[in-house]
Amino acid sequence: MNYSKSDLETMNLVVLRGICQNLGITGMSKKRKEIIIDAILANSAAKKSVTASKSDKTTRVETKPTSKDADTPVKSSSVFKSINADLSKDGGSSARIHVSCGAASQTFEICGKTVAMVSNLLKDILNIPVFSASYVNGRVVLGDYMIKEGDQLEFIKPAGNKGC
Amino acid sequence: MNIKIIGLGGIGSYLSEFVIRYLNFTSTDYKSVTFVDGDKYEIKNLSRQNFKGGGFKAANQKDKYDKIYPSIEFKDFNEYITEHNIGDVIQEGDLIFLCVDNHSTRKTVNERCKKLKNMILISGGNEFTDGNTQIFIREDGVNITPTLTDYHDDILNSKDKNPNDMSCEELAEAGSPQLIFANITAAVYMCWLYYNYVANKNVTRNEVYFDGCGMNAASKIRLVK
Repeated sequence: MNYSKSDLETMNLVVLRGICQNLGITGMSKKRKEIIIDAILANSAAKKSVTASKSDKTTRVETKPTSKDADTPVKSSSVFKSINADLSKDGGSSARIHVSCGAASQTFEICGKTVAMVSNLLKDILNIPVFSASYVNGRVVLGDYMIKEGDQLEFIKPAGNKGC
Repeated sequence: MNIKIIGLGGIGSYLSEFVIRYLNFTSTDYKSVTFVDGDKYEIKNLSRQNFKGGGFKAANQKDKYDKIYPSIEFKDFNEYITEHNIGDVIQEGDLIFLCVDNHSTRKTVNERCKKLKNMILISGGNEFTDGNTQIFIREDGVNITPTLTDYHDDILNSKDKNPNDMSCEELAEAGSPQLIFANITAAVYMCWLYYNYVANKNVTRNEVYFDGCGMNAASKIRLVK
């Protein structure tokens, strides 16, 4: 079943956690409501996405990049190779583009791809939130922006909320 | 310069210790330190927060540092920040360390700071294992760095409530689990933002993200909009 954001916002935490269980979303038992809603919407979007089946391997990735990986070209992991293969389809330049979200960053061959496509393919690698703004070279861009050689792409990660 | 430390929980209680110790031994360029928080310390806070005893957090920290650094003037403001009292707390020329646990207060403080000619606002927040810190500076009425909301619609459009407006149930729900390491990491990066500005006048990299489980951190160059 697909849920709309407005529907989910009317539900209490117990119901939302039940939906997460049914959808197989783990780690939500102590999360805040808006995070749970984002997770449910992301799950629904992933299932609906036409490209989800193409990038099925990427959705199983749970490992975050380490400091050793940060800012270095991806070489060894078969998962990363698979993603790079997806990104490299349909030609385009082989120039590596720096992509970051929060503290995580990597370089990928994504010239000629749209920001929306890159976001979808890298969402699990870089922990890109569903509703994150995209910036190229410091300027905000929309999802249909085509990545060019020399670009630097950042998906804005939401600010930390807690602290007290 | 007057220093305001807003929020004295997991981040603010540690940041206070670092900043006050640093200032006491290295700087004379400040007049007072004001602790601001409407909450009280409870036993359950001992797992993450840096305090002894109980009572209002602001008063508790003032009492603690009055004894350690008698040459510094400490003040306490035992209320949550609201649109109504923010003018009493944040004034022209202040250095503000914002260590709260909700975007509603961040937005309120940010809006107040945008109206001042000169001020330094350093804000930090975390989730369970990651977080971010930002520095917003105005000099002679001009933004030197972006505001807290220029790149963060999540703060601008947040629907969370000021603690003053929350019911007991909402307060309990808002108190989701946190990790002391994430709190302290946020406090330390807030100190680095402060140090890079006062010591090096360097605010090119004005936002820092950290990720404890990813074992990494990244600074961002944000342009003023």
